[in-house]
Amino acid sequence: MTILLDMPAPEYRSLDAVGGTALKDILPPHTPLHFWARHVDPSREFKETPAMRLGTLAHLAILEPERWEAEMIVAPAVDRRTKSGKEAWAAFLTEAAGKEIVSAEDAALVESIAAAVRSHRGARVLLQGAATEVSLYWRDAHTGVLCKGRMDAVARHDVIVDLKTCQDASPKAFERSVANFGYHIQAAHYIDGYEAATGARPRAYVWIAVESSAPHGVAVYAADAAMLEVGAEKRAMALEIIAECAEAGEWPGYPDEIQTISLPGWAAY
Amino acid sequence: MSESIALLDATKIEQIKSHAKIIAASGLVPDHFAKNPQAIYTAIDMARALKEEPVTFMQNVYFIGGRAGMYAQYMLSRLRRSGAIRGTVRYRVEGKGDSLAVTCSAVDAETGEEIFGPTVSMSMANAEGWTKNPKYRSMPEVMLRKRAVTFLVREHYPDVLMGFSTVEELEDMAHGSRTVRATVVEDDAIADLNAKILGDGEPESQVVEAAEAEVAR
Repeated sequence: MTILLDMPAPEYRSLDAVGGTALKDILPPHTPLHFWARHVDPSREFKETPAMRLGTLAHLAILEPERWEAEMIVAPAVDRRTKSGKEAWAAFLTEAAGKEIVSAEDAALVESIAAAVRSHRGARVLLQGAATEVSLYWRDAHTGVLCKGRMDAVARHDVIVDLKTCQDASPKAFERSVANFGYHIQAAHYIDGYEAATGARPRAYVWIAVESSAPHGVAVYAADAAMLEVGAEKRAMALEIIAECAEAGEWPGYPDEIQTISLPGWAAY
Repeated sequence: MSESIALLDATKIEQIKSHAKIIAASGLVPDHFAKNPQAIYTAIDMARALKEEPVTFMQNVYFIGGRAGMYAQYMLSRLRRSGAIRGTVRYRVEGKGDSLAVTCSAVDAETGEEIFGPTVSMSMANAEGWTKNPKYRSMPEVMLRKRAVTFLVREHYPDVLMGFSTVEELEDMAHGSRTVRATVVEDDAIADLNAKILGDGEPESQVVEAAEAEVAR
């Protein structure tokens, strides 16, 4: 059971343990095969979608602004088809050695998102002085499965803070995002890890939701008790399936037998 | 006879929605209902089916893992009010420690016979994993009594439960089958943060340092 404050993201990703965002991939309608392909297959590759990259950059700018300043470099607007453009680009690459290259468009977008979060009173209070990017590594007491988690921030009084970029940060839309993306399962995972690593039970789990499009609306939401209970149930179910599959060395996909299907209700009439 | 919400006309549905909003704002129902008007709406429907007052019903059910459970005390109250038994139930308590066992009985109102529910014991509680619920260590007899009366009701008077589990059963299942923990929503924590957000907006530095120290330990 470990809590790590300065673990680089790639090192965290390489930890051979089950993370909070992976759990939903083994629960219906997905199958153990889907989970295996995404999180166990030794030949799998980490593929970062544009939305994931935006989220990663926004996390850096909001939670670790010093690193954002030090480790990012904005690509110049040059035409790399021309000779002068190629030369300018080559000079830039030399300057950018060891840094993460971000397009001017992405950088402006991320700065806007970060500014919106910083200007939101609730988000600012939650993040000010909070420990950020806190990694956890522990063994689930019930199944023995090795687990990991990376909390965006831990605010005062044992409150876990999770930053999410989203299309729509309104309450109903974000509730749907929680259900669709399994944020409540992730929350239950981090809560368990936090207690395993620190001995303290978190007192609340809070999301900062920021819209990725202008005007970058920001809202802060606390998970209610029922949501966390469902998340804990689903997490426990996922870990049990993972433990069974790992022990058997089998990660089944959809059933072999013929299944009868019906039209969805909305298409029946 | 009660009428399901699903069968009501639009006017009645609107009336129930308004009723749900009033109940939510009344302060008379637990938080898990007060913050969820949809749950109140459904609870009104369930209460109709059980021929109970909606507020009474909501005060006596609790959701665990997405399932609604009825407190054992409430189930017993329903049993007594149903007129199916004479007086109240009786408990026979035998043994101590690991051999503790409880049997619940009641005098059937129709036949006048004493009927017994299945005996529950600590060995059963251990085998079923109920004892992962720490209450079986702190108050084993109370927990076994609740299980025993539930067994009696489920076996002989199932109409009282109307397919519900008891809260105690759901808690035992949650403790026994998986590592599902209780919730971590402390209203005080949210209220404290909101006070800070709506107040000066800046957390006290010494409190932040304390939080960091906790994280670092």
